Amino acid sequence: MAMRLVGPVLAAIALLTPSWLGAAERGFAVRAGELKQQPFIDAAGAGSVAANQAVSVVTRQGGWVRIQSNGQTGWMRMLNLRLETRATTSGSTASTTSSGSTSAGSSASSARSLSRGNASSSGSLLRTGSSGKTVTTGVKGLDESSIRGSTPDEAQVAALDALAVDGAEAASHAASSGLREQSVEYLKGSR
Amino acid sequence: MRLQRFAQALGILAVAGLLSAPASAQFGGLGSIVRKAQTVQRIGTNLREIGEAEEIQLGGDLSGIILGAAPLIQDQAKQRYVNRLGRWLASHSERANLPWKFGIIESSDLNAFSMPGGYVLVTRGMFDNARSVSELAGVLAHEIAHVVRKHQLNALQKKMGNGTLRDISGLYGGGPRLGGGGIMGRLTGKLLESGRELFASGLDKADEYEADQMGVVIAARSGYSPYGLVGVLQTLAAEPVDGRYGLMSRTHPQAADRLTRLDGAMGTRLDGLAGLVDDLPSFDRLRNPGAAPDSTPAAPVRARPRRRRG
Repeated sequence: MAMRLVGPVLAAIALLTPSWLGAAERGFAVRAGELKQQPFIDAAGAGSVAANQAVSVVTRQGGWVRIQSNGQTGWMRMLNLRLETRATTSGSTASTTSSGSTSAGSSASSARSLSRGNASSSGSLLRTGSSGKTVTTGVKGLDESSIRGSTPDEAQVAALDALAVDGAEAASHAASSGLREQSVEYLKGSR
Repeated sequence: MRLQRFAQALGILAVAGLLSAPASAQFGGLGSIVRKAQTVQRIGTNLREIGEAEEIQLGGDLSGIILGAAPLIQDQAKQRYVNRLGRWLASHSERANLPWKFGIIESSDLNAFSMPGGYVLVTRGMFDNARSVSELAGVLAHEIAHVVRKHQLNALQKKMGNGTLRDISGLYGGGPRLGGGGIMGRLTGKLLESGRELFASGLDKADEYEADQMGVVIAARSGYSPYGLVGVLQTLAAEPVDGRYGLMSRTHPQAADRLTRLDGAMGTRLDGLAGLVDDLPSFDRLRNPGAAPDSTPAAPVRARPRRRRG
């Protein structure tokens, strides 16, 4: 019975994986551990990984990642995974830009958005909320100098204030999304 | 300017003794004067203990600094979504009744900010690069934890020192003289300066670790997989520190260290919860509005921990 659920769940996860993520993520195990045939702790074994062994991430589910390594495929605890460091890029969005024709700077930002079919927001990327100035933060990043040089924008704060929703609306949306509340204590030592 | 108004509000409230309104009502005359003095002293020694209304005002003012550098994206559907999500998460914290506000700001960086009083801002880069809604929930829950624990107020207090706030009590020793420049103007300038410094330098490492550990629990209480934040930290740990992760990498403990700490605190303690959500169709539709309808699953994607009974 459990097996019957796996197929649809995996298919659903595959469909939800953003296409712009592109190739599988590559990483390594931080410690030696057993692989599992299913993403839960007492599932049957599916081999093992050594500390620092390279792995490719197939998918994620809860606290587990399905990985491939040395011809094995199985589920590993997510906390045992670290990802390979991405190559340094000069443009802040280059690594996830799917269009190879984009140039650097703000045009890359909007093209990246457009490439995912997000036409509704792409036009606004070139403008600020209240003043209509050309955005430069997407190019140079939101760094210390842009913050130290910032003039507080009161109109933007008013716009932010207007976005608030009340608890009832949030709860209604959560219920319609199928979220299930849990009773969980804070972890020891965190308070 | 809002900061000016906040400073004035602090001063007015300190003089009127409104921060201890019930006590003022009880003890009129000389008692209320004594109470006023105590109130001023309390503000002077601990910014963490300002009233909620003043905290919210201050949070709005500080948000203005970030928004002045990176404004809200103009996408009401996404802004509404993060507000519903964020408010739901905050409802599972100790400060559920703050008027929480969430915003996505126009920056391709990976970063998020929170301010006193329930203001939370997340960059477009962070929003777009989340693998799932549980990753976004993890980021927002981490920021909510900072607000709950008043980490920013604590840090501002340290940055401003007690001297500046003590100026308030000095000013009102001989009766109220509100408005204009003078000490109030200097206080406003100091608040602004401290706020910028706070965002540019970050919080204590211990506060970040605490927010991570509280954030995963707040997410789980709200029905989201607590492993969303783990996924975000894995992303950050693999980021070059000179690009879109630049500011965040300089204002936070190393993501690898945060993962190690979170690993130690979480272990398998949150693995037995049933029906937690990894991702939601509504989040996918929000980010991929052009996708074919049949490619969108109708049901939430849940992790299903299964254990043999026995």
